[in-house]
Amino acid sequence: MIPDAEAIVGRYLRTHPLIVAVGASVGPGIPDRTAAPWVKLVQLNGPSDRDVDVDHIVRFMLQLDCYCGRAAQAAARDQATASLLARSVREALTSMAGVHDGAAVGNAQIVSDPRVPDTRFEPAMERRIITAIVVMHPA
Amino acid sequence: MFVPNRNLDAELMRQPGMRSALLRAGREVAREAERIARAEGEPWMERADAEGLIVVDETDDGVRVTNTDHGGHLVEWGSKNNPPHAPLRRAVQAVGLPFQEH
Repeated sequence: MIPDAEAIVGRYLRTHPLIVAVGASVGPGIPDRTAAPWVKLVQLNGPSDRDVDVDHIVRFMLQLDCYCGRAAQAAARDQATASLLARSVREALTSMAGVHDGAAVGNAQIVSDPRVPDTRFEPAMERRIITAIVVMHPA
Repeated sequence: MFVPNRNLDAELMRQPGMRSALLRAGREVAREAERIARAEGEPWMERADAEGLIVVDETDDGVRVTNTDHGGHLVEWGSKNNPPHAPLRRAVQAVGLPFQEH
């Protein structure tokens, strides 16, 4: 069976020293407590590799929203915190190659990383949005 | 001796064949993006003067595919209140093009 990309990347990031150092949580949505930074991880797509006719090698497209959190906003460190978190996530993803939770994972390709504050928060919450392609197959 | 042509990209873009190929690819992306966007209930905030939901136009350096919905950024990226649906990014991948944002 193909790997669960969201679960594998989520677990990997949650325990990665760079993400732990920022104090960020990682999950599929907005956490109940928004004081600390967080990463919202969503799988956008997961097509099979086009060169083979079995569903084995999958090119997962993931979106990772790196939010600064309320505490950083209050300390006027919002943009810097979102930036640090995004750069930490990028560093972690691009050194992820190996076997994780029964899946062979390649290094992520970062395809975009714009600054898009979430204006649905009041005041708007600083956010960097990473889109990454992560190739995985069962180990 | 090989002399690299630093104007190659610009010269290629002036070729009618290149422009029509890009336009064809842009229209494919737009068709797929529109399918995804409509499935997510777009337009959320319709732009009154737009010629369609997803439009394709030529620029000096290529082809642009645009979501004209006023809420297009919310649909593409998501927000506190909704998940990202990414019609444009998924459409690029769906038609088999490599996705690299600039």
